[in-house]
Amino acid sequence: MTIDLDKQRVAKIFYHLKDGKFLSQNAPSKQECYLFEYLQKHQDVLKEYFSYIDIELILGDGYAYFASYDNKEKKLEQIYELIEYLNFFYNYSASFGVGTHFSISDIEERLKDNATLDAKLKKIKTLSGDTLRAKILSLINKLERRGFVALDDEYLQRYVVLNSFEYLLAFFNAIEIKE
Amino acid sequence: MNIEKLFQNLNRHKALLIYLFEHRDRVVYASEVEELSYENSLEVLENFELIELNNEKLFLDSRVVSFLEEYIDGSDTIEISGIFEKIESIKHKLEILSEHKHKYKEIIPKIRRELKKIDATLFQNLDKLRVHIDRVYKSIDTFSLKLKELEYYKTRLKEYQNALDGFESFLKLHTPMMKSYYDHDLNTLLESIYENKISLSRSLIPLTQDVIEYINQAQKQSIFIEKILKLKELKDNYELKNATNIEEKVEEFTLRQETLRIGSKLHRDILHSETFYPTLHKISSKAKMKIHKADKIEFVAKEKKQDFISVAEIHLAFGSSKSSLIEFLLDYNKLKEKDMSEISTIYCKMILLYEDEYKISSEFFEYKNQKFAKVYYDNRFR
Repeated sequence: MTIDLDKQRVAKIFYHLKDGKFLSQNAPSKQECYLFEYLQKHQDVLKEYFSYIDIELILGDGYAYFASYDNKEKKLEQIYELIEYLNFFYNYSASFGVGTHFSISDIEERLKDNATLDAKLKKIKTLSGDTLRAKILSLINKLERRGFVALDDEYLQRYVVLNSFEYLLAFFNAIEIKE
Repeated sequence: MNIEKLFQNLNRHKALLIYLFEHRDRVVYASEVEELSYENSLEVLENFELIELNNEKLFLDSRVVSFLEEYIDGSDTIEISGIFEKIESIKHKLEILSEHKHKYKEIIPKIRRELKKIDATLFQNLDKLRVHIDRVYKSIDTFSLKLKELEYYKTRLKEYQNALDGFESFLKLHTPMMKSYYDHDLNTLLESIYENKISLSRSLIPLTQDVIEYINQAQKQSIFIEKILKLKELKDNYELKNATNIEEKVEEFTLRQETLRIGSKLHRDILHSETFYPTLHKISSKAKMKIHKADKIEFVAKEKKQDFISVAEIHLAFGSSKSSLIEFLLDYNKLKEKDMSEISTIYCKMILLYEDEYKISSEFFEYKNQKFAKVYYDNRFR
């Protein structure tokens, strides 16, 4: 293996992924896009490099993350949480998916006219905040922290759904509901 | 009706007529257009049947609206069936021409006009279809409605394809006849129509594929949403584990929730030094062993001053290895200094003690003229 890795970039990739956050190809931040391109170009070397410190780098269709194989119960908790979030967002917009744009105000407006959606948001126990806006922000922050969405327009407080969302689609698609 | 007077009036009241055309989709009241009209404007225009006045409500005559829409293509509707009518009309004209050749000068310009109209209609309708389909996909949120609309446009595209095919057959069959009249303009037009037709066919393929793709995506998304809603329902009823294969699939859910911590106390300069990567590469195979608090063991060993080899400890370490027992022992750090007879003894001891946890294969490993059966740790005990 030739050692021609850019140390600064590798470090940036590591610090981006280490908290369980995704790196997506369609991130609004140019730096993240460059990092993803770099990661994609050197994926074999990087996979081996990280494997020496017992980290598995996974590269999906337009996204990358560090895998974890621990605690089953904790994973189930995460999955339950994600079901709640997806249930809310699909009720908000049926076309919610990679590339979708939405803003806090959009959701707030929709909640004012839709009592069912409002109730769904309030029922999500993992969200913090007393006001409606604070709860929406808490929900978006949770998805942003994992790298599923990113702030696209700071002025309009508009977010975009990233390629990493495909991971959730693939995972939930693989789940079979028994008849 | 005097044509000159008609044009004079059209010109005189053009501001009012333009306003009525631009607002043809809603009711326009007489009071609204006072500034645009003269004293007797409404009366004059009504006499010319250009507008209708009904209880202060003003309408542009439907013939004027149709004429202007067709002429400037302001209409948003997709009109494909008209193409077949125009083809039939040209066929009829060609039939007359074949029997009454002297009508050549009168009929050929009409055929040219009809051909131009068909060509333009095909172009305009393809653009409209593209815009409509894009609008449907992007702006309709309700899936059932979106699918219905997309299916509708799929049918319209099929109609369009039929019209294009119909026009092509017509051209194939009648071009030789039309060319036999040696009309330069008609021949040039036919050539340009032929080129346009190829470009239209090419554009139609990706557009049709897009619609099919849109339909597939919408169906897929719809199924996925239904699944999420069902999973949420099962979760709320505490039935998720029993009613799905989630417990199997949870193994495949590899998202990290906690921050990754690297237990290195190395200085940043060392971590970033040129030699760090090759060193890491070199020591990586031993990295796992270091986790077993090697310092403590070394301290105890020093204190006891014994050359004690714990078979149980080796057995535990072997449990996390994928290599065969003999290869593992030869590679095992603490046995590096031992001679082959001691290693053979440990090999036999371990097989006797942990026979139930090992799998003895039919393969052999040869080392220094000695043959060892390849023994592996049984995966069931990992």
